[in-house]
Amino acid sequence: MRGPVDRIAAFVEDLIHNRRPCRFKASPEEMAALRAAAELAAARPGANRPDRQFVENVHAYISVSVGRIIP
Amino acid sequence: MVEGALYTDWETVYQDNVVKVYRIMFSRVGNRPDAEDLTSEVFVKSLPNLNLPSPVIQVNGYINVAIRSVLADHWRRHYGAPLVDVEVENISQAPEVTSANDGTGRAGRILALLPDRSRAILELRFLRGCSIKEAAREMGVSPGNAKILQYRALRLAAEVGERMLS
Repeated sequence: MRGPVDRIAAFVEDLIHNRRPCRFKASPEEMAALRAAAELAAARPGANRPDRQFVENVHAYISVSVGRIIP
Repeated sequence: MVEGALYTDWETVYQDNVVKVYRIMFSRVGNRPDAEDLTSEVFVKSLPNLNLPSPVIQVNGYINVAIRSVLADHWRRHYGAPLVDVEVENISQAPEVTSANDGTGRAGRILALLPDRSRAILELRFLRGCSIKEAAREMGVSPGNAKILQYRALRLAAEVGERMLS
């Protein structure tokens, strides 16, 4: 079984490649490291620009699902 | 924002806030797939409960609550974190698009306060995108030791980040 060092390394590897990161039950120390890694990964230049297609897809989804409730 | 301004339809609520919510989520999870899922969740959860027309300030408050709740649930479901109130920026203070790292952002300030080797491993991994093998070679250590250095550096970065908030 992998220990914290390998679990965090796998998590960081996923963030660096902008993939959905691996999931696992984290100790409080690992939680702190996960959040710090996420914050550093988010600081890469231009990384926090949303994909236009995503914005349109969510809008379309809400138009169908939520638009029925809020005309 | 004009004082007393109202939102009258959900489309405007969405268009005005989707990018801000995404940037807040991305700043907390650091990856596109999760940031997209969590952003969708915020709107799917909050829009049906809005009673429009409503003051912009009230809708923003509602979205802020949804952001905190969705993020706390994400960390609890996937990593077993205890359900606590998550500190996040308000929607009115959402991050701007990140630009070339000039060291003045929060991440840059955290890195600047770390010991040299901790800063070096994190810069190699997060800013230069080096693999663990490349980072290890640059630092003159084995890949196994680079992973240990990385773990310790992240824990230190978390402590520095906490101190910056308090």
